[in-house]
Amino acid sequence: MGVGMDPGRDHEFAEFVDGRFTALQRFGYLLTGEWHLAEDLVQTSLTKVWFHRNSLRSGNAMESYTRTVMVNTSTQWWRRRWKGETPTEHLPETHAPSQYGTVDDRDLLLRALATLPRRTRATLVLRYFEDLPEAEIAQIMGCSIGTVKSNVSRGLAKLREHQLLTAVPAPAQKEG
Amino acid sequence: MTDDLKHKFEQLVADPPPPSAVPSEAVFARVRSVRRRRTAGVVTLAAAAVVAVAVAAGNLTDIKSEPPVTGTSKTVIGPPTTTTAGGTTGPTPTTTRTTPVKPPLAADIALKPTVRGRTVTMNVTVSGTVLVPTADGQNLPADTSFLDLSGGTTYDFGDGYTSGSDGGGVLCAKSSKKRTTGRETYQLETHTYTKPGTYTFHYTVEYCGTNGWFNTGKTTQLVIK
Repeated sequence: MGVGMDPGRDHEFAEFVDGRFTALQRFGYLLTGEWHLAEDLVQTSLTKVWFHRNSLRSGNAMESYTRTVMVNTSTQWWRRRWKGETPTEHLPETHAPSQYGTVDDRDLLLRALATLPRRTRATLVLRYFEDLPEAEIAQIMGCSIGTVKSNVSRGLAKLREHQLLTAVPAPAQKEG
Repeated sequence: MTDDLKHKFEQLVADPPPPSAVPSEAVFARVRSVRRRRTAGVVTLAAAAVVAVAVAAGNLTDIKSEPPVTGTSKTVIGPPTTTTAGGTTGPTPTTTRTTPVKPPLAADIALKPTVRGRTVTMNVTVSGTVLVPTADGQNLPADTSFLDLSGGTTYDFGDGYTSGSDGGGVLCAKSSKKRTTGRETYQLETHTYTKPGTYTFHYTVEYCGTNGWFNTGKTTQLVIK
């Protein structure tokens, strides 16, 4: 099913893709805020990674490089997204308020993340979702550790404005 | 506090939908598609190169195969100097060289509103010559659209509604030296006024210049009946 000249490397790459897809999709969701965009982002990024797979010796290097490509690709998409505004005669229907507190909370977090600059958002996700050390984040983002620290600080401050970081929410309770 | 954030992140991605296809097959399909495109691109490039060489060869003069003088460098040569017994007479050859002038770094905006009832659709054209900003320490790719080279836009419909975009991490650094000239037209989100009146619409875009980001703005009046 591979496409390269080296079936062994293709098989290895396919194993990496199938094994890590869900984890990368979650990371993509936190970068984009939409599941279908996250899947598209992961597939696009992995396609780019395929062309460099021979220079990535270990699985860790490949995953780290994939995250770099995902961050850069999502930033490029975002730069192009806002000019894609299309006027509509009728306003789209807004979704009804959720009956689940946790879902509201998720929605709030997504909206708060959407207000952050893309690279700040990616830094927060890498730091607090992926639990990566600052040095590794700096490598993925292609910036200095100082920039990572300032991005984290600015990002957290912004999320605090949304009163998101006050307490761990209680587990979801279905009403009624 | 940060444990709180991690917990919220984990909640957010707790139930991912199943992928729409087997992931590796979907990625390999895309790889094949990209390779086909690249191959087609190389063939086109090669054909263009062959045409360019043929045109250049046909464009040579037959005097030592020198190319003809182009408009960018103009040489005016007077009548030949003649030498007589009394000395040199006749005009001295005059050579005038004009170097191409770089257009100044500046941006321009054209606003074209369409008003239907109280709803306004605004077409914005940004154009000019600017420096290419950098992202991740490198110039933005050559195929970046002119609007995406900006550091951000803001617009104000004059009734308290403002919007815009930021550059998403692009930098106008000292390393930004590459000039580019471009033009792009796009449409803003439509806006509906709640009351009739005369409103002042203002649009600003930020581009990279030699002294950092510079703003260019444009204003237009909107009469809403």
